[in-house]
Amino acid sequence: MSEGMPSPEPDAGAPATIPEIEDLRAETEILNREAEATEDEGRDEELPEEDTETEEIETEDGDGTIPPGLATAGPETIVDDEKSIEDLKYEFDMARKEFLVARTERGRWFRGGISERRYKGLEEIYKKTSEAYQRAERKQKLTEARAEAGGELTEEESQKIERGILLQQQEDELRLINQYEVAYAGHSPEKEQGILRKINSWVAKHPRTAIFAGVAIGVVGPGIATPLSFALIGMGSYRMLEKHIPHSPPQARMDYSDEMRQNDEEPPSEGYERRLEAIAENVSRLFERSRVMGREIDKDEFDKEMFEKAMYYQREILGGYLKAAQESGASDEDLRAIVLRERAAVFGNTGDRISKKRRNSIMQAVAGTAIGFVVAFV
Amino acid sequence: MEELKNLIQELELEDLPEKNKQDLIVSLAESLQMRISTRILVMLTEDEKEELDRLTKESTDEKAVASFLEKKIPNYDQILADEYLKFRKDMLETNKKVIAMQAERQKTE
Repeated sequence: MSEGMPSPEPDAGAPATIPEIEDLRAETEILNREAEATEDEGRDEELPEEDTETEEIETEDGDGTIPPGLATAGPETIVDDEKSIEDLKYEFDMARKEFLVARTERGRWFRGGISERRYKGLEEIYKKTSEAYQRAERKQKLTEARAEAGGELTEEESQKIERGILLQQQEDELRLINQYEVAYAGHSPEKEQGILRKINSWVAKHPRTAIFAGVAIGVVGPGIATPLSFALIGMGSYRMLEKHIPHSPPQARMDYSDEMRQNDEEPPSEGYERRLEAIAENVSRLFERSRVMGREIDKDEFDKEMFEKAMYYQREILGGYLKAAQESGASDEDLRAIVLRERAAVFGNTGDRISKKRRNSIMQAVAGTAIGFVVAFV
Repeated sequence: MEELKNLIQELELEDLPEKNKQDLIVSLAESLQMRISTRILVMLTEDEKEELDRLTKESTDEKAVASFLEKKIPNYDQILADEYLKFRKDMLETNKKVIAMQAERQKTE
């Protein structure tokens, strides 16, 4: 852990936590102790036996490896096709939230909102992530349909399936945007969201709304109609719950991106600590915002949200850095050096290869650091 | 509401594979449901929203909420019919656009 960063404290005023977060903190402490021990023994030592299972990722020219834990933060962010559909969905969801918040705060930069430049940046990210995810989803569903059909589909069949998916994607997206905007049009967004959720629940259970079950029965038969109509209620609640989480402008990411575009020459390690502080600030603002809105914060949910955000920003930061470096002509070796330096700046360890367990610990440590910051701030 | 049963046929998607058809139906039904809900939300006055908010905080009894909404929204059937017609129109228009887009793409390929 680099100097000046508060270590995450398991207790000491920390919010109530879910078991995973407790584990994470415990692992972070273990990692810190391991890192200290490693420093004493020297950084170029041979790896312990468990590291024989290390998963190596070849660089493009095949002449080296990138530590797998950080490879997921870097190259995967650079090449969309290498990302999993879950990652793409997560990024798309985050980008949507950030963009929609930005839309409500657009042009109010002098009153704590965001500037037009940032708004455009977020809009661009939203579009790109939406295209990437929706394309991947269509591809996946077409592949599944092809497998279901037991081989090849005709061009006409493929087009029809794609059309169905496109309609569904558009409806899903419009619905999410619409419910967000309706809620935010009121004086108290959190309250409006809550009311909308209640109304939606009432609509779903209203006897006249049996039209939904009717559609299912009429078209796909009673075999799936019954579970479908029950699923509707559950899914509606789940999705509303999913949307009912605090939002915050992506300060950390934007600060980082602006900084990178303006000054590519800054040594990576120097800016990293500041960026982690920006993450903590962002998370802290998230917490404050929820409190100002009078929202009853679910501590478990908040911890989970914070953890996910920390992971997201960690990936974005390093991924964005690598991308900028790559665009300015960095070789694979340079990229690898950046990864190692970044890692050294945060964890005090420059080992070339790491075990899966250690990789997870490192990723968790980043989240632990962010949690530590929040504890310090709050 | 017989028309709604035919929406999938009107979109000419009745012979989609089951999985895709199910996904689409769930999505359409959720969209229609959300349209109805947001329309109702907009219809409520600020005082009514306050009351509903108070009701949901004070009690977990869903019947109280249902009873409140039934009183405030006596024309639920009409809302349902209106929203369905708008939804159907929007879906058919979007469907046309998607077909045109696919045709355009095929030409360029």
